[in-house]
Amino acid sequence: MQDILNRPADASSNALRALLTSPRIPERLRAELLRRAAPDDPAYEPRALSDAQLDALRALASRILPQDGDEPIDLAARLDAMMAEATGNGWRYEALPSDPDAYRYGLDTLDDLAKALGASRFAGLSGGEQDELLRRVQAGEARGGEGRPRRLDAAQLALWFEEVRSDAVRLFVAHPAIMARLGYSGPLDGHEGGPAFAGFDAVGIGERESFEPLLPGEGAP
Amino acid sequence: MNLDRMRRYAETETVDVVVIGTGAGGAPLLARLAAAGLTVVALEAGANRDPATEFVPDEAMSADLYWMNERVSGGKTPEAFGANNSGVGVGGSTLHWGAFVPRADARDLRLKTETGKGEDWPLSFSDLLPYYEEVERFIGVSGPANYPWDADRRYPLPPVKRNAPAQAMIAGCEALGVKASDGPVAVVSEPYAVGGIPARVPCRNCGYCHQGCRNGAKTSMDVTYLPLGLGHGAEIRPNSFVHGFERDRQGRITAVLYRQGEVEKRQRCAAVFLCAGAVETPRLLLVNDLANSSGQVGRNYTAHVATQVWGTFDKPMRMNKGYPSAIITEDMVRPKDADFAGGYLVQSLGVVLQTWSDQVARGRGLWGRDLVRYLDRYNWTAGIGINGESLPSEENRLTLSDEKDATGLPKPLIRYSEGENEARLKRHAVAFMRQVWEAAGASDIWVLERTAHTIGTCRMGTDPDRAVVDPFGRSFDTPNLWICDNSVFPSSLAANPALTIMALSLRAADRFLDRAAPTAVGQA
Ligand SMILES: Cc1cc2nc3c(=O)[nH]c(=O)nc-3n(C[C@H](O)[C@H](O)[C@H](O)COP(=O)(O)OP(=O)(O)OC[C@H]3O[C@@H](n4cnc5c(N)ncnc54)[C@H](O)[C@@H]3O)c2cc1C
Ligand code: SF4
Repeated sequence: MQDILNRPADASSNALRALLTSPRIPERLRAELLRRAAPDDPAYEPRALSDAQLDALRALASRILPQDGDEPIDLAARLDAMMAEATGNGWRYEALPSDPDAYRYGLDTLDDLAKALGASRFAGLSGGEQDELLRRVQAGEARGGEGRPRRLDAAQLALWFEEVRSDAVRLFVAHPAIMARLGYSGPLDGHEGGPAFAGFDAVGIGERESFEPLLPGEGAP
Repeated sequence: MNLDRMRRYAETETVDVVVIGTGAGGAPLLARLAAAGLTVVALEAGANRDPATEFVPDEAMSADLYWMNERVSGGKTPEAFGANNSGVGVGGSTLHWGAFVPRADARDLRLKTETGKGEDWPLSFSDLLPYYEEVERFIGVSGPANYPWDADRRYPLPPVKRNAPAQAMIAGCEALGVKASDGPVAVVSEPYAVGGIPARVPCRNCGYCHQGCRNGAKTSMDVTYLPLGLGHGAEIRPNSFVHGFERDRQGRITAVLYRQGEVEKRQRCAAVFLCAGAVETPRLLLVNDLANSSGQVGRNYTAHVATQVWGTFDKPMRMNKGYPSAIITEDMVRPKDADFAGGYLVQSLGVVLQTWSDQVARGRGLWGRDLVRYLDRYNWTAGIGINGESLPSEENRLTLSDEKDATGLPKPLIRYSEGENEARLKRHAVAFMRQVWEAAGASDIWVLERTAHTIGTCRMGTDPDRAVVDPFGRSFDTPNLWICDNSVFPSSLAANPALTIMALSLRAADRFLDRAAPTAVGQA
């Protein structure tokens, strides 16, 4: 945690530090945001997926949410951890198996589809080829798993791809570095609950509280 | 909520009433029955919470507010459950509801008579009116001094603060000559005190209503009807999952079977109010083969059409701030050019970051650079959305799947497909909302398809062959069983459901107590 707060001062680490150290965040949330901000383990061992599935998921996650910075969030590892804890989100499509199985079968199907294109696996395709394949997946046209056990058919793949986008983007924007980059003020709504709850007063169009991040195009106060 | 000084009953004591579920349906009647001197025990599957210390402005950390045992969702337009519509805990779904509380439109209660489609309700608007007024007063509804669509209506509190999406909707509607107004919102805009419960402090515009209100300004049952019930001697048992019933030879329920952690328990009782919501109520009935001689349990499952339209504005909106849906128009409850039955309500929308990003990735279908670029626009976007009539259909149905969930009961399987009427209503609504958003200055406009709420499955009616409960909520088959929650709705209505559920709850209690209904102040 100290690492995060003691980084050299540049615009993005300043914004992140301001968010994480704000006196306006509830302590429970601050602890959780610090946990999310901790760097991912480069040697992460998957718990729900196989190594090959994790590779495919890393490739997939970087097509869904390309990250340019030098410390990309390992969304695939975080998704795997989520699957391993598999508490689920209270429902699933009738057309899909449970979340962890949908991930396993979906990723294996992506590898199969890549093989049919002459590659060794999904992660072996070029970025452009991966995008091309994912466009077919999204359109429900990526046939290959039809009728095969532990694989997804074209309609299931499209549904599952929607699930992965949703899971990945939730993890992405829940990361404090992303909140800071967007200038998101949600967590700053008040340190304490109960009668002392602070909240916001300036809520109209173009209105900003002094403690909210400035957005591009907004002058300094 | 504080349960420390609550009265407690022995499981061997035959209490007058067991209430199953403490949400919008269970809580008001719990208070009413306890106030009348009955002995009442509520069994609630979820935990008791301390909002001031437990709730946080973060969706991922709020997951324990939702019913998390898996529901299986099928049909042509499968509904999302979990965070979208199903609560658990002392207070039920009202812990994380949006607190938008329009009254039902009188015409919607007679849709079949008016259009030949849908269903009529076995009661009239004037039956509900005194209860609406009573609930609005007690829970503290903020709203405009003059409600544009009902001259007689008065709200006890002035409107909540308008946030950026609210201002945009007002501007867009004004430009088009559409009436729009501060909405009826069950959030106290000023300090509010009513008899029998602790006074409440006003809304602080945090925008995180759906993650639980941290100061009790938003109405949830744990700051309103439940403490009232406790004050009158009711007991609430959290973490108590009901799975069965004991019955005598006449079929009357004599005890409710439930589990607290691993421990099996049994509460003897003279009557039961089943208020577990429109998924768990029919599941319990089907599992126990109860109250279903009509074969109607599980049928006519409905969800509101809840399409949203999103756009980007020139100025920062920071729509995470402020009560999320402050503005309403009821102009589309019966649009003049409609080619469908019924209508819809429109509200302004601010949505917090994780929820919004999920909608973008799922509903707008973005990924890659397009997704990242659009996420960067978060602070300039705002939405507008509807709550629209969805006609009941026998084919839309909750059944038991052959998989079991963590409780050991079969998972509910809900198959839901929108029909032609919903498609037409949606087309109309999208065109309307687009116009409003263009007039408000939005660009890059897109449409999010969604449904909301869990409605139907145990409908009320006068004919025991076509309905599960009578017009007050009493089972036709099991005379000491009452149902009072979203499952008894014969049709969806355009209005959001919870105010009507609370009104029906008080009405059911009065009937149970053999009391006459109160008289309304406003005119019907
Ligand atoms: C995100 C969200 C926003 C919403 N916004 C609005 C809004 O703005 N306006 C509006 O009118 N409505 C809104 N709603 C809907 C509203 O909350 C529900 O319509 C209403 O709460 C339903 O009341 P109910 O009594 O049917 O069920 P609930 O309020 O869900 O209560 C059911 C209770 O029963 C308990 N239970 C279930 N099974 C068992 C069992 N076997 N044993 C013991 N206990 C059990 C549950 O834990 C729960 O506490 C919203 C809902 C959600 C989720
Ligand atoms: S916006 Fe107001 S009512 Fe909603 S959670 Fe925040 S303080 Fe409570």
